[in-house]
Amino acid sequence: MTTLPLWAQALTWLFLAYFVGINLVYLVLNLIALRSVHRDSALRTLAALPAYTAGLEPGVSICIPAYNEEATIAESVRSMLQIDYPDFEIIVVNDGSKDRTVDVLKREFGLQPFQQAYRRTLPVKPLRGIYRSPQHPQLLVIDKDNGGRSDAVNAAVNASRNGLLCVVDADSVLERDSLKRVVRPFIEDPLTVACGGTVRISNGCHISRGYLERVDVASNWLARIQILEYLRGFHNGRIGWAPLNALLIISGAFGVFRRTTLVEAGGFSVDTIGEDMELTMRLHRMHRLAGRAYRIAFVPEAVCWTEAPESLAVLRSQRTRWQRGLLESLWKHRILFFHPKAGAVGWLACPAMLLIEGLGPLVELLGYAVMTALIVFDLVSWPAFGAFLLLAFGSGLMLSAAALLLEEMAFRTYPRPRHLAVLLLAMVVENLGYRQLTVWWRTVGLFKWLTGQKQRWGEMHRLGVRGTGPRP
Amino acid sequence: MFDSISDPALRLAAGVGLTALALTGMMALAVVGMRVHAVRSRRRHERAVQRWRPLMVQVAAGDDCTAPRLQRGEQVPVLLLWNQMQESLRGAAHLRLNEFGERIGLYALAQRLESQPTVAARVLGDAALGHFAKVADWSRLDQGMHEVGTPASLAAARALMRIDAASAAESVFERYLKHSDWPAPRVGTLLRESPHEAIAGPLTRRLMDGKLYDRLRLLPLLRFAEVPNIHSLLDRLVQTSQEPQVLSIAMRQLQGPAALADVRRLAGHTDPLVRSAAAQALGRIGTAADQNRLIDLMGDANWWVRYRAAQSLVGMPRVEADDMVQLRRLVSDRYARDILDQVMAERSLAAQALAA
Repeated sequence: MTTLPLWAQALTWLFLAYFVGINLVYLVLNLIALRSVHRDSALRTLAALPAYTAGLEPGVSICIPAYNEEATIAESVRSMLQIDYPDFEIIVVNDGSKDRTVDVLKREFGLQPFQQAYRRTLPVKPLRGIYRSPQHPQLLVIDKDNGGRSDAVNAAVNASRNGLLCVVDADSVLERDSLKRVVRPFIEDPLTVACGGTVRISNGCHISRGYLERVDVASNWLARIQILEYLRGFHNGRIGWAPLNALLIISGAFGVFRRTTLVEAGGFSVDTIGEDMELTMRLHRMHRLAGRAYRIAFVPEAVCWTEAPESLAVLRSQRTRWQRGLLESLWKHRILFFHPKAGAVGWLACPAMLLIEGLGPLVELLGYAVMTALIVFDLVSWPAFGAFLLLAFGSGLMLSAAALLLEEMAFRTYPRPRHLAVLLLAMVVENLGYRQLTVWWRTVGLFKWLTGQKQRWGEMHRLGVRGTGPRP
Repeated sequence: MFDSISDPALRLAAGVGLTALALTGMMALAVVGMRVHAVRSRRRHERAVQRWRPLMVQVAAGDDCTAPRLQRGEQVPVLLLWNQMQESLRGAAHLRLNEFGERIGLYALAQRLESQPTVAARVLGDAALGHFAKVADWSRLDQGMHEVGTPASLAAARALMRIDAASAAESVFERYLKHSDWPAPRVGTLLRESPHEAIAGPLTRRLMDGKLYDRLRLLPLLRFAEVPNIHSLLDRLVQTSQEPQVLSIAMRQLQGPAALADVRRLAGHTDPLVRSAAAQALGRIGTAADQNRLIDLMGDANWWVRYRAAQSLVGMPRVEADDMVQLRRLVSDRYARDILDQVMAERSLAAQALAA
């Protein structure tokens, strides 16, 4: 065995610092999350006592952008119509679908053309028609030319009548009380401008007529690992960042925004891939740099269920897109980094996001490559190689275990011992190929962003996890 | 380098990796342990409810029953159950359950919980003390209400209002205005379940004499409190206020014609918030003479003013659908026509829904 070259030594220390740094950041976030979850879970035991706000919730417009959703849209809208909330409207925006999305809506809900004095508060692609349903007065459907997801949401913002806007994906299922829960920060603190909820994976769950009837874990290992990934992302990250008012993403699959603030910010950006993160960062920027008090909140117990990809091709496209979106948003709002007025957002959240999520995959990939090269060229011993693998896998396992611990402490969503066993096993299985694949895809996303390559939205092949019967 | 375990980088890597693995193992064990504990505590809770619910129902109905000893593990589930039942009981049944609760030690338990540092314990304790409604607990609850921390302080306020609403109302309003942590809807719920005669006086006085900030925070509460002289109070606010937010909130609640002249004047206000509220108010308290004013407002630069004016116009007494069709032909402003079309379409849709 020869002496290690200087560059390899430096790289080794870099990887070491990276893994230790990540663990420390997540450890702190976990402690914050643990405190917040502990406090809230104690109060949840009092759910039997009378609610203080029943019937006094502010009006909410639920915006559902839909593109080629003929298979799921009717069920989604039905699920939204059953939500337990005193005052809401549903605005479905058909974004120039190539399939029969609008026809399905017309047929299922008896839609009629409606003469609406449409406000163009935010610029959007031309409208083809507006429809309402006599049976469901709270349902409004906008048919418009294709302009992308953001354009569709902006079209809904223009038509909305309520002070709060809830953006939900067309293939998502909201739990009946999710809206009541996610609106709570707006009631409790008038400074709240946006609030997100938890997104969970619906693969394997039993959903009928838009109702989540029984929670289960998917049979597909790809989906099982994503359950764990989502738990990690929402429990470790978002619950931890929210008390610092430094949450950088309100998920596009389920988020509520104050309408006036959203309009003031210019709505969703139509030229960004990660429009949800971009908007959240824009809201931080708008308020922080102007010295305006505000709050971006997160309610973990407000839950929305969504379908995860079960094919590698769709997953690859999703992960490269997410990575590009993340870097695009961070770059666009780079002024926040270490800005004197940016507080926890600029001094903690943005740098952490860049180092851990933005550049992390590259560092990890380099780590694997360098360590493999060193062992091949006999520059390090097998015990040394093993120690680094132990560090990489150990830190990954620890983060997953922490997320599971938070889940068990606060929510206990997966009720059966079998579910727990599957998730504990998924923690280990994730490290045997899945993690390395996602690291590779995310690195590809990083290079695509660097080289300015266009990213296409992948087509999601729906698996029919939302009902027991065949799809229409 | 890296050829032996004595290398510092290697030792650090192995150390951190092993620590992470050990922590993972501990957390995995904790997850399993918590699940076992949760299952056991749920069963214990269910057993306690099964045992005590029939007894409490008997007591509430006025039947004699011998109270068994309250086991330590049953205390919190039984207090929760007792609170739940008390929420739906009034009069003699409520008093009988109070007496029963005291007999089995729930009152002492509530006092103990009230003084604990955890929010959940305090909320539960305060809720129970509110049902027991003993004046002896006044000072501890008053102290709890003035602490910052929404759930516990609101629970203490609710308990105080249950003990003596007339005496508590003043300090509840004072606490509400002093700190910004109590959301108006929650205070509104508190007022809605309290005797109206106890809150009307303090609310009116603070509204009329208060500063702008106080007025803005108190005005939304008016709809929860049946203030006997609310109409004259609102009229006075509309006549004397300058602040757009106060004017708009007050006008939205106007029911009588006393302030009509002021509403007409405010229909030309520079702030769209005020114009929109004035358009709405004209629909409720206006006369046929206000139709032209509303037609003008339908051409306003602000969408909401146009919409409220059209709604008011279409909803005015003795205005038929044919009149609107006629009016639509006469209106030259494109925006006014569009908004009128929308409101008429909404009416027609609502009629169809009603017919269906």
